[in-house]
Amino acid sequence: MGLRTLAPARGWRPSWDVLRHNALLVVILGLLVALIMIPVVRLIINSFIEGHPAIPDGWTLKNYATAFGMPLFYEALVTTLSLASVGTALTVVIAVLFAWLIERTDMPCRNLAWTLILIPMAIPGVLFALGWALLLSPNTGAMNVLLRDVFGWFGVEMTEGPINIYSLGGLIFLDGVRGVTTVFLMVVGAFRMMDPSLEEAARVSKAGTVATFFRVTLPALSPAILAATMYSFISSMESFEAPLAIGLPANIFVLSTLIFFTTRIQAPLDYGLAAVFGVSYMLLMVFLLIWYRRAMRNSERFSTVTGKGFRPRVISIGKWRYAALGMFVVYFLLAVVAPFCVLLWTSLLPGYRPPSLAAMGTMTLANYVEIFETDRVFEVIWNTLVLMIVASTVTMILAFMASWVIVRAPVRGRGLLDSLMFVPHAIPGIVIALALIMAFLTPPLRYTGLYGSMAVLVLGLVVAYISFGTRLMNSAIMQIQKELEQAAYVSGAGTMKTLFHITLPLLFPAFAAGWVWVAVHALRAFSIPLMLSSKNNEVFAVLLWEFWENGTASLAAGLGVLLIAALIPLTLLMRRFILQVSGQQR
Amino acid sequence: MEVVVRDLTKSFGTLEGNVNALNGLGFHVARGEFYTLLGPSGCGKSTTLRCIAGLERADGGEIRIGERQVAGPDVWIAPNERPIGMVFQSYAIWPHMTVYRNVEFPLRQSRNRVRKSEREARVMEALTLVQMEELAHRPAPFLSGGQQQRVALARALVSRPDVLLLDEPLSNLDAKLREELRFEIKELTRRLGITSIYVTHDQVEALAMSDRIAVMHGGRILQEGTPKDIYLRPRTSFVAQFVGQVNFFHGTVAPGREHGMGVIGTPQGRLRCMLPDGMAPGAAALVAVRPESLFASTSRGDGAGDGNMIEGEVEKAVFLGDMVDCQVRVGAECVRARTSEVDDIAAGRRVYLRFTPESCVVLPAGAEAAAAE
Ligand SMILES: Nc1ncnc2c1ncn2[C@@H]1O[C@H](COP(=O)(O)OP(=O)(O)OP(=O)(O)O)[C@@H](O)[C@H]1O
Ligand SMILES: [Mg+2]
Repeated sequence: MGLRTLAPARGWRPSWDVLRHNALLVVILGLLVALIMIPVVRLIINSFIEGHPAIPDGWTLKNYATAFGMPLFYEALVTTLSLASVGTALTVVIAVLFAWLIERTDMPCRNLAWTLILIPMAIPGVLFALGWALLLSPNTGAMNVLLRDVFGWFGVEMTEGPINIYSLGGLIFLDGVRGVTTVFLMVVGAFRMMDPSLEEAARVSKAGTVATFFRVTLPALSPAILAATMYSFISSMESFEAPLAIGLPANIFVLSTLIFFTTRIQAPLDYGLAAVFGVSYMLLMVFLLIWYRRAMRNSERFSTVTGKGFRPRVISIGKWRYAALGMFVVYFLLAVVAPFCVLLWTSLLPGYRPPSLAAMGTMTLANYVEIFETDRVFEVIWNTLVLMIVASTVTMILAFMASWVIVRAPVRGRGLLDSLMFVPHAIPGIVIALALIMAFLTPPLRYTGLYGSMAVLVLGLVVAYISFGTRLMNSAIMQIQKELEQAAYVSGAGTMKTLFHITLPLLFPAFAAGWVWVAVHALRAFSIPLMLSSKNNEVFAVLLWEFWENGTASLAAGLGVLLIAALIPLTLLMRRFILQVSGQQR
Repeated sequence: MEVVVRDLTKSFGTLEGNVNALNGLGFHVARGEFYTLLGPSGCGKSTTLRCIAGLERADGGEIRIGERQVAGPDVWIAPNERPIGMVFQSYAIWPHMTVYRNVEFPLRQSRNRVRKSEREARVMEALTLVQMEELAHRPAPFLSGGQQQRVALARALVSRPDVLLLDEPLSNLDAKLREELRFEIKELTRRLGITSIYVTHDQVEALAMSDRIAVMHGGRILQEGTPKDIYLRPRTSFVAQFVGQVNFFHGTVAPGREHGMGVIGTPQGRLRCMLPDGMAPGAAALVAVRPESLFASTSRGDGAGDGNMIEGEVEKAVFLGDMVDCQVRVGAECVRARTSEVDDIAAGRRVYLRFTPESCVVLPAGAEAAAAE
């Protein structure tokens, strides 16, 4: 049988007993640790190795010398940091403003706005970038054409522009708009739960609406806003889609695209160099995340957000209400409507043309027909579904078991496991993929023959999302009364039986929420599938990118529309689940 | 099956340092006995029970269930392999299952797997024992507290364990239900002849249900005995106080003793009592008398006679129907007594308290300190 209940234990010897009696659990946790550690270690090792990982040329420091002597590396580093800081600033200003307007003022259509602001989550980053490429490419961008027409009425004639999305400014704009939903969700709760007496005190002291907002509301919420800002900054540091679609054509590199370029585009490919980039990138992110966790711990000390049930007063902003609504409409047009419409438009034309009556005459569904006549398309859809279902199931089951050990098992080293599960959170997707490539090109994993397979893709996504899953499961398990599990032990059930017959069913809502979250992210995942893609494991997002690269923008747009159509219901489902689990049902 | 616990020690690491929950605790429960661990909050009752169940691992000591050692220096049997059933204070009924599934669960585990054909009969039998057969297919969340506790009991008994462990199973119920279930549990365990270890901090419960009681304090047992023993012949003032109300009179043993009967000089007067052996004249002593042994009366009658009599003034009197519970000031002390002279007793009245020498328990003063060392 081999599986028995975890013995509550103290000291080393009993811990050993626990391990001995739970062989399966130990094996699974071991795999999990290996899953995270092997790629990371392999990445570090390979940064000291010359040549292709499969045919190494011996140890060297040359990679480091090359990387640190390369102006492009510093350029990419500076671009990454400046993109992240300016983009985050833009994001936070918009998101905090909307959180305040929607949650605390009498802006019209607030409830609708609350739902609409979630829709951007259903648009994958790569489609958002491609949509804007179609809107604002200097010659034929739909919006540029429109602007030129408008300028033309005033006698200003232009042949290109006025706006070029293929620029650092363009990247910053995309990054800034893209992050709004996440930051909004992170701060809106604080706005709702803020102790209203703070504001009332200010109003009684004769401060106006604006003064109260800047002098009292904002400072009182600064911990929540700071947390969201740092989180947004870290996500921006990892952004890949827009820098790939918009940055590369303009020769603007960030760290993630630099790695992609070095391992997938340039000739000859240089894995050693990419490994150095990866290690530096990872260290930078680890440093940022440690800083983030510190700050979070400190900020919890002076929290002004109370759990009181009542809602703060709604503030009347007079005729500014319509200006506020206008601002929201503009945001929603830019974040959702414009990119989606241009994709839809493009998908209905034989080839991309700026909107015009003449072009409208050529509208056709031929692209959609062609998509479904492409040989690979069903294989790609199948792969995507498999990836989505397998990755989310594996991620959540592993997260569940790891969390259970972290929260419940009486063994030493669970704090260590907790920290370990946090590590992948610090590794950008592109670096996870790079590390997996290296791990599966070298022994011992080379002998599995899995390089370029669906399995590697699943592993990549599991590593990428396991941190989130573990965090969710940790809090869910903590809420389950210990005695419910203990009653199973004394009824004669072993650890595994208890886990799967008692604990898992009890936390099923949280498990399902996590599952849907991972599934949504897997469906729109881009950087990892693209890095790891081969002809055997292509998924939807990769095929889409391939169409785009090959100049068939209409096919790419068609696929994009289909993808968004699949993502919208899933996103709304996820929102329902997540709100339900976190108890912040509105 | 008998249960033997020997020299159990256990400490918990907490932020403020180590807490010694158990300090060399030991006892022996005979086959079929209903044994109760009684003590104040935090004295280690639950910890002891959880060590027996295997939910907690002791730092030292040994536990045997029947012939089998289940915990010891080199032995560890996991809870799912011990022949036990357990009822938790919080019931721990699994909310995602029906009553039937809850009770069936133990029969599906390898320790006591029962063939499918037999299972239903066993589950229904257990549910009948606790009078829950009608609600077998109700989802667990739709049960009242008392019903949940019955299901928990059925679940603990369904696998016919050798030992039943109960950790304050009644403390979350209201008073009336508690009394009802108290009787039912006692009756059930007696009928099944199962060895039961019961944890409670309620002395009434302990006295009413147990064959034997162990009074615990600070992680060890102060006194063990039948309910009568514990109530009538406490060996320390802590035990005397914990198992019921008691009046204490401090004094010293006076010279002279015949047939075990002696006299203790106290500020409230000279009290005749049965002296335990080894109480030399001049030794400090504590006389414990339960309020129900003190009869208050407004008339002096013919004095103390063969018994004891002290005099005081009523401070407070509470009418309880068939009698009056009163607090009487005697010198510097406040004494609790009962009387059936319902009409005459009122605050401010002068009363005479009579009690027999047999109702006095003489404790060596400072025994508490000695026991706690
Ligand atoms: N997991 C634990 N960690 C730290 N200390 C603990 C733990 N469990 C129990 N203790 C401590 O051990 C001592 C005994 O606890 P135990 O639960 O056995 O008391 P108890 O007699 O059952 O009390 P109660 O009547 O309140 O249930 C207490 O001081 C308690 O604080
Ligand atoms: Mg207890």
